[in-house]
Amino acid sequence: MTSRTAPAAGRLGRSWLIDRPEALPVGAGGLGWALVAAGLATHSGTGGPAFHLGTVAVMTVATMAPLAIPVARTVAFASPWWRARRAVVLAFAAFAGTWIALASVLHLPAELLRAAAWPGDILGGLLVAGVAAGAALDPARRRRLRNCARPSAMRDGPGADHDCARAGARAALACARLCWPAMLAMLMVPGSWWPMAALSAAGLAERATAPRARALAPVAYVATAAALVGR
Amino acid sequence: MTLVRRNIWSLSTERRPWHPNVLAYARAVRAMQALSGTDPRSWQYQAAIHGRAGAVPPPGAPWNECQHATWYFLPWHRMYLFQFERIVRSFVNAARGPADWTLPYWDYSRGAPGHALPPAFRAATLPDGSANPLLVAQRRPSVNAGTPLPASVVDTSAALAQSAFTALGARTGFGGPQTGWAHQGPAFGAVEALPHGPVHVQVGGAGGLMTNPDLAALDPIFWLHHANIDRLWDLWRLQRASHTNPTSAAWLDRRFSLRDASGAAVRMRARDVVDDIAQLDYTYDSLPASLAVRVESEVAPVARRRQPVMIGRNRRAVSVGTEGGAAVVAVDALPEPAAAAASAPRLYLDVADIEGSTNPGIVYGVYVNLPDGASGADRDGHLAGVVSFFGIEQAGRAGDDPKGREAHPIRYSFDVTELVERLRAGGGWNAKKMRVALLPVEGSEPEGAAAGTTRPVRVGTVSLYAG
Repeated sequence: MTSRTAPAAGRLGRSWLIDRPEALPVGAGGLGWALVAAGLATHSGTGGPAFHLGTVAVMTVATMAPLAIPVARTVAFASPWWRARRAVVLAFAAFAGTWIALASVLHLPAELLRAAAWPGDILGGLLVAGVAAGAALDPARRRRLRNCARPSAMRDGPGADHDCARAGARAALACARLCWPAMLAMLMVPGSWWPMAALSAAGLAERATAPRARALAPVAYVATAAALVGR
Repeated sequence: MTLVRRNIWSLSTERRPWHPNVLAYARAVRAMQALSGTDPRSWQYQAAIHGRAGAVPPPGAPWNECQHATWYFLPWHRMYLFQFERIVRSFVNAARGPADWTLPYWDYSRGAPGHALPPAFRAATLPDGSANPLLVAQRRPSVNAGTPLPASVVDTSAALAQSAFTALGARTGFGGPQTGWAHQGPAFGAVEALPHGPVHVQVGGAGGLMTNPDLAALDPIFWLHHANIDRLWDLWRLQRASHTNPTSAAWLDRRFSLRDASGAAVRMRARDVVDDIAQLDYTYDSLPASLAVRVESEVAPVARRRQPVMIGRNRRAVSVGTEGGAAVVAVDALPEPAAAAASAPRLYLDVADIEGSTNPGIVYGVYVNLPDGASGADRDGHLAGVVSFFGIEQAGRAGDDPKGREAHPIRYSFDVTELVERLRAGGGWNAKKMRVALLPVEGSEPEGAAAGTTRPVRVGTVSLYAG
């Protein structure tokens, strides 16, 4: 990748994406949910490997894209205007790509567990219950939540693209440290969109409400776990 | 009865340093210093609430709680001072001192004689000949000798000109950026950037107590300095009806732990301290009787502004030693001059991603396109603002601190719209390139044994924003 250089001196150009960098993750997430709602990307346990991979990618973008809002805002603010759009796209692509890769890796144990043990609902419910316990009791979780949105310094010039992509990938990895059990649970529950929606909402609530309404996210996780186990 | 905090220079003069209020403070400090450091009313314990690196707090002790570079900076320090003042008053009253004792404030911004360290803090002895606990050797030698603080270090105009308490992006507002709990947050609010930090560093110098947040509250002048910052908060609110505190529950309801006059744990919220007169029963001698009576002046409509965007930045990090350092910023698409229009883009100079292990004890001026060899008024014409790196000891620890709390590199932001327009008009502007130099302000050059022994500070990003 080569970094775009500054244009000749001229008028400051602003685009919608520079003013609202969150539009890309929100838009991508919305598109993912539209596909899920249309029944085109609900994990059903049937179909070939390519279909599985595509489904996992859409599910992952739908659920995880909103978590890329902080890194999108950071790279837009820390990049010169002529490169800000590119920076947002690169950071989001790296964020989504990292998450899709992680979800694809998690897909295999999800399939194996579902085939070898209890129904996916129960296993998924137990995993989500574990997430709820972590959200309620783990003192290090707040710090890890902050890491999801931690800004990182970016260079100008040739290293800028690399730094944007790295910022996106690092944000995804920081989020994955917290969210991988929820993702695994989602992959084990076949054929329903609502566990995805419930887990996404709980994940967002945990970030949006910390540290004031600490009980909200654990309650949301527990409710999701109970609904899965009782299904 | 509402208690009144008075200007220290109205109590303590060169000829008569020992007003009963000041003498009572000195004796209370001595009494507090004699207590065990595990006693919540002791001098060591109270200072450790602000910060004490490396020490293991007694169980439940609210040490290392100070809030910096965050919108909690002002309310947290108001709570801290309020409880400290009550503790000191309990010692004053126990020694049969003034029953209505209050913490004085040090207004260093109104020229002579107040811009020098108050005489009682420089005297070697108390009137009875005993050692003066208000005199601290770990200060800049010239400050302890009575040399005035430089005008650029005590300037309050940029802070009081802020239109909002908190703001987004390159604008940080009067009180600081919206954050969570932050021992060292991402960016300084205007009053914290100047005069708060520079006064700390100018008084402390290299290796001084005031220079380091982990030691600062051990110097008795710390409390008078912060009383003045607290007063400036009231002053800013009184300037215009539009100068209001945040109304968000995240700001109002954030709780902080402190110790009260009996040493017992107490928790306070920003909501509990927004009005010092009505809620805390104290005021300042230079303020009206009620914060509800605002000094209404013409209230200019606040233009809605878009998020600033970066229009230039440096390529290489700057190493700032005792002599200073400089960065070249490549600029593109600078908006045309249109300063008359309220909605015209404003320009902000960001000095960010600052890290270092030790504060050099120097206040640096940030100069734009300063000609070689310029001095005095010529330098002032290029001054964008000052930086003190106060708190760099926390900022240098990348990521979270050992307690898992958030830490950030330091960042300063200056509105340079008028400066750039002036340079453009005077021919001192290059449309493609801006040179930003960080140089010790006159009067803040290295002094003392520790000067020159500190490692340089690294400034990662120097950038120009428009918005």
